[in-house]
Amino acid sequence: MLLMTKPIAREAQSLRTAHVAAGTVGGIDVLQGQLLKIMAAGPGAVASLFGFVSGDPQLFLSVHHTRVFSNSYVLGLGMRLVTNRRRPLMVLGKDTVGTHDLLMPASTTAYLQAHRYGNQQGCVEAVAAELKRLGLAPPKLPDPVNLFMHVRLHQDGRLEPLQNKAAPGDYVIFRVLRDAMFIVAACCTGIPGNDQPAALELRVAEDLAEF
Amino acid sequence: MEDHGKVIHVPAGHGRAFTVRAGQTVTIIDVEGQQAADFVAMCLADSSERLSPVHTRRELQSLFFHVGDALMSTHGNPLLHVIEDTVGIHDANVPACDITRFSVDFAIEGHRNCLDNLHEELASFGLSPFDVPEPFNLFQNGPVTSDGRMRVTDPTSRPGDYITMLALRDLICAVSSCPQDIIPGNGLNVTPIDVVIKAASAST
Repeated sequence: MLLMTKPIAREAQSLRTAHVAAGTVGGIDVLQGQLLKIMAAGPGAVASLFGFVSGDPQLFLSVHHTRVFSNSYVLGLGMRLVTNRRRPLMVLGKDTVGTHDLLMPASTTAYLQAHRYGNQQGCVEAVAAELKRLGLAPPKLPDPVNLFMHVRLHQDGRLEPLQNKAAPGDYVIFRVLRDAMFIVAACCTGIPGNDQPAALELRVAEDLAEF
Repeated sequence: MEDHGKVIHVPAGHGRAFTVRAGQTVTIIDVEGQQAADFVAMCLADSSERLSPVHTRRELQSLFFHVGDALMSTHGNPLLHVIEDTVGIHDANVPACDITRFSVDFAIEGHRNCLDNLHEELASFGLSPFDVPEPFNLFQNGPVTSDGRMRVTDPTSRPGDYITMLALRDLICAVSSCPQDIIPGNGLNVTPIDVVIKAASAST
């Protein structure tokens, strides 16, 4: 729990977990102050992250506003990930990989078919279906934060997809600052070197020791 | 007789929307120089298919685009082809400035902003603020630093510099002369933008 001058008026929750099979999406709701851990359960995992503020469907995690909020094209430790209204939603607090992407789109089923990935469900369609299942109706599907995706940004602007470095057990941990539902996709991204879907584990805890 | 095309004047710090037919060219002119022009587009037949910097980036494998490149849609289709560019430096990274850009980042309430400029003009097409696509910020200059950060700096564009794109589909477009007058981006001096729409054959 966050160290507040007045204790937070809710009971501490015990550790919650969700498994996201390769090629699917999973969701987990997180309360203000909790820690969200996203872990690779297989080699080369990519976790495409979407976040929706609880109770306000018009507020969501915005990768574009996150970049400009920190004047950074890349995600680094301590960076605030912000909403489409430029308010902090979460902070990257721990990271065993160090390579993430804030620039590439979510795949669609049509894109994967056109690029010879076969008949896999695209990230866009999978996330849209999960939103519907959860009864969430945001006014648009935001672009993702692609955790563990390895695309090198050169100083001349060139984007070079490279072999994903995530190994089983690698993780990121965020401190979440607002109640929110997070949807995490383990779908094929269609980005070379990062296009072999692997399972993910999601964990939510009040404190680091619980992980 | 020379075709001067249809000219749309975008007042400093304001926006304008217009349609461009497939086969026409649209030229965006930085009239006085050092002025960013937020440019958005979507398909006239299906406004859910939008011009997308994110999808363009994936296609070009670059943050930046150049003459000869196509700008892509959210559905992965080319919508515009860049055929002339006297500047060569544009931004496809920064979301449109909105009311919170000024209220949250600069403690200024009630400032003009690109999102409202674009939406005010696009509302007549039945679009909500959430339907306004992510912009291409023409003439805006956001170089990459050695550690992957974005340098906040002014455009290199000079008076009369322009970019011309060929429309590959019938499009609804909008342009905002970015009203940012607080940080580098428009030389701390917001100025007008002109738009010229011509038949493709008349532009060359």
